[in-house]
Amino acid sequence: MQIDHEDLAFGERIINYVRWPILVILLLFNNIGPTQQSSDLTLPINIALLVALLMTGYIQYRLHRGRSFGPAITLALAVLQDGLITVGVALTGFYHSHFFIFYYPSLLGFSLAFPLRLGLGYATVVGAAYFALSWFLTPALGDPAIAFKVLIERWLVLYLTVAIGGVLMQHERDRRRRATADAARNAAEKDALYRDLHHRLEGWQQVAHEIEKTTEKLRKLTTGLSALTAEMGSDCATISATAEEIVNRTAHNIEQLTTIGRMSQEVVAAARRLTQAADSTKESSHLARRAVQRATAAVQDLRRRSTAIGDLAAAVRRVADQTTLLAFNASIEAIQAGPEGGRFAVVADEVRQVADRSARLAREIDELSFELEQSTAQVLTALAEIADMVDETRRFTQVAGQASEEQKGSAEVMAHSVGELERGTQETAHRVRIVSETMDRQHAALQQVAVLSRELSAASDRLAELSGALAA
Amino acid sequence: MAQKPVQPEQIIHFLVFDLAGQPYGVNVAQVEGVVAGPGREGKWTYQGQEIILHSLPRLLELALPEEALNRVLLIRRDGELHGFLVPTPRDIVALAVEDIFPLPPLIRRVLGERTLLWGVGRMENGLLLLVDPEADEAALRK
Repeated sequence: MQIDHEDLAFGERIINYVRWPILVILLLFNNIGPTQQSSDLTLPINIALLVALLMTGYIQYRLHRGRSFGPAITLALAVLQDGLITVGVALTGFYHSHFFIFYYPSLLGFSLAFPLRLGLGYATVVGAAYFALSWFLTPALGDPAIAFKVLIERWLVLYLTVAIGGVLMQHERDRRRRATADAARNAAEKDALYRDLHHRLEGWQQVAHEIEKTTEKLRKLTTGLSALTAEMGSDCATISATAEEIVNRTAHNIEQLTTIGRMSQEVVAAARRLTQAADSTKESSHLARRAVQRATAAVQDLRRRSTAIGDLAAAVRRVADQTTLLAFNASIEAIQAGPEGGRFAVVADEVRQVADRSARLAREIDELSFELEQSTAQVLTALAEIADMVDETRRFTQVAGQASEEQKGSAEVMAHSVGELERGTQETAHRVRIVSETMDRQHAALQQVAVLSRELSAASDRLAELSGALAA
Repeated sequence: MAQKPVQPEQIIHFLVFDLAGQPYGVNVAQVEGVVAGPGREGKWTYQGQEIILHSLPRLLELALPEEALNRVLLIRRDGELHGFLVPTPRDIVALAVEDIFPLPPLIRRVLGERTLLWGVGRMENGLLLLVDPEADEAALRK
């Protein structure tokens, strides 16, 4: 049989639990028992019993506090106690006490057996040794019948004590085994429970993590939805405002189109007048061309005459120069003639002055002729340009006439198109108005969506909190 | 040195030309006549007589284009005609002898002995440089 540390502690506790009340009883009966004999040693014996009792009490106290002396010291103390009691009792003749008889063998055997891990055989040997010691110390045991009777009684008590102790020990072991098994089973169940709980916790954490990620996505979606809702609300408001502005502008456009239609009709009328004017201009340009041709011819004739005048002026200037020379020579002759030539000199001087005046006039005429020639040249150039412009005007008039015809047709088409456009614009305005009303309704719906989005955001936050709590 | 023309009267007449913006005068007594000329120097036939034309501005060392010298100043000396290219005369002026002055000695030294200028006449509106076309005989023989 294997004895572990718990067995030893149990045996130690049993020994002391058993010994302590026995010692109390022994102390009482030592003085009042029926077989007590007076002796001078009564006082020392009682003191020894009291010491043993105190030792037992102290051991009990330590055991009760969970502290032990250990098996060896416990055994030594037990031997010391028993030895003191045994010697004292033997010396006082207290051996007739049944308590003494029943107690000591069982106590000693039990005390020694468990701490020393000995069996019943050893208990028997110890009991025999104790019996021999009692035999020699107790005169009353000189009777073999009594001694045998005591021996039998003590063996019986010893075996019963050991048997009871064994039963108690077995019972204790079974209890501990069951407790151990229960503890193991409980531990296994707890471990399984823990594992299951751990598994569940991991699952919960994973679920919480998923919830957290989903919550984060939901929060982002909610935020995006809020922003999108706000943006769509703003867009709706903008579209609504724009639609309203379009309606207003469309109304204005309708007025403009009405005006354009009226103007198109006026354009048609103007195109007709322009065609007539173009025809008239065409005729006028033809006449102007002929007038320019006549003017050009006249100016060219004037230029020729101017040139002739210049030639005449040059001739006059030459004559004047010759006259001047003649006058100078006449003056020289008159001066050289002396006083007789005085009158002639006066005439010559007059001639020279006339010649000078003629020369100056000739130069002025020449200059005027030159200027006239320059002017006629400029006039001819201008007339040529006018002729070109007249030709250009005639060509432009032809083109304008054609364009006017085309414009008239286009204006008629435009008038018709403007009417169609006006009707289409009115239809567009009607549809835009419908869009505006729709956008107003959508705006209201978006505001409601925004409210729901905020509630969804709050729910998302709450879900995040729960997820955090679940993960924790 | 050219001799100063002598006039019996106290009045001397000068034929006036404008050369380079300055009036020059030639004593009318020296002038045979003024006629239209070829406008260039060299030999020229006048009334069947071959004469040599000299540019009066050139003799006076004045820069004047030849095309402006469209007149010929005829001077007879020792029975021989001499021609000088001149512009058309501007006027004939009469100066009193008191208003005629010889060239200052300093100017004469600067211009040299062969200069055609012999004096200065005082007019109402300025001075008249007096020219003797025959003064430089060597130039006339060129």
